[in-house]
Amino acid sequence: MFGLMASFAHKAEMRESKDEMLIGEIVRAMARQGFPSVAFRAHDDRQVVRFRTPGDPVLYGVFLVLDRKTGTGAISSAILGSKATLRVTAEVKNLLTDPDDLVKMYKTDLANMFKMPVLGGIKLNHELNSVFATKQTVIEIDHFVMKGEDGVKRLEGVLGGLIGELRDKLAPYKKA
Amino acid sequence: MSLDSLPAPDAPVVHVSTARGQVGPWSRIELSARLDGGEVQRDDHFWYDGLAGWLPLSAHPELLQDLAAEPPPSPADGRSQDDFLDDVFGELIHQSWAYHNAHTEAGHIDEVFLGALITATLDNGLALIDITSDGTHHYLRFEDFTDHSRVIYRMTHLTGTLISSKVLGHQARVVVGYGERVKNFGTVWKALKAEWKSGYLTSDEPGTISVDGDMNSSYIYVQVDMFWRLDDYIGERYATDYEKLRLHLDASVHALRKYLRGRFA
Repeated sequence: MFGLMASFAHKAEMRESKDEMLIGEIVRAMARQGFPSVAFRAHDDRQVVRFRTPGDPVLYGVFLVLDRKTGTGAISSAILGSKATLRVTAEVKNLLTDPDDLVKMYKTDLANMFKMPVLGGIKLNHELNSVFATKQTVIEIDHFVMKGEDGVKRLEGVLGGLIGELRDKLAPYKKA
Repeated sequence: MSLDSLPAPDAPVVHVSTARGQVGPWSRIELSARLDGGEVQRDDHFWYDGLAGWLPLSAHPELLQDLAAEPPPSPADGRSQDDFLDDVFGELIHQSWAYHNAHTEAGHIDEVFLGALITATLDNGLALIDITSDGTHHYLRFEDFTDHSRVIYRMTHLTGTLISSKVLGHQARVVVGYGERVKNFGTVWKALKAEWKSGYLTSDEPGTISVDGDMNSSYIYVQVDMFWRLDDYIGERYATDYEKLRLHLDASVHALRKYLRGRFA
């Protein structure tokens, strides 16, 4: 009886851990690109990881927010799968900002104020020396975890695509 | 007697013996400045790697002589004064960012190490199943789905400021744990009794093995406290020595696995 109960508890634990599994795979995929993690904030169903991008000609850093929406319970997992939103923000940092830049920032920031980074849109934001571009997408966690090397490659493709798109958007803001 | 080979002007390799004791290593440029400032006297002795012994500064003016001969940065190369001053200002900004980055990097090396820990453990075939972090205290739990064994790490960064890391190196308290699932209630009960005894262990000393039993998931864990130097694994520009990290993780898990199986067989 004890063994049977333990098996049930273990299955539930595994189902609840899928977003952590995905975060682990994301950290490894980014490390393979030469992008080390530099900050973690991880609690329950929301994980935030910040990466530095040494060697990237445009980007200073990337941060990812994984917010699990469904699939922690047995029923929602069976009906809806394990859906999560993945928000990717890329950052360009310039060494110097002057008042003219700040004026341009206000214009862009006003245009972006009510823009949500959903449905493929990219939102730009300025903060002093940094310009950020954000894109959010909904992913199915099961496509990437416990799928062996195929899942890892698929994840690398998704991350590479998102970061590439954000890099292109930010390139004009990178000063020499 | 002249010096056969002088170090590069900006190489910090020159040690100086003054009335206040030994100082340095300094670059020749820095030595020259300190001589001008009166901190070092011409009758003080100096040494750098390659010299047979300590020599008086006054006997070897060539150590400092060619520094004055080096042309200082100036607009004499055809650039305008405006460009020249822009470059000087640019250098000040770069130096400021170097200062800022040094402080920032000292604060987040533990999280670079955390990422390396995740990558190395995933490469060993385990999956991350739990992560909790408030930025200083980090907790990771992994599972090997082939045999359901688990590995846990708890890490606390002890030297999160630039000053403390420069003095002590990047130190972290690391707890490594190993767990196995048991289907026998008696074994879990035995682990819980051991855990109760572990509760009396309040020592900060490393090498203390404690036992933990989880009734919900029927896992028993053994764990050990250690102190690790993070800069043994993370180098310049985040270069990571994965080979050394994997070796240290493998050795720790191997020892704990042997202990757990011997203790609860």
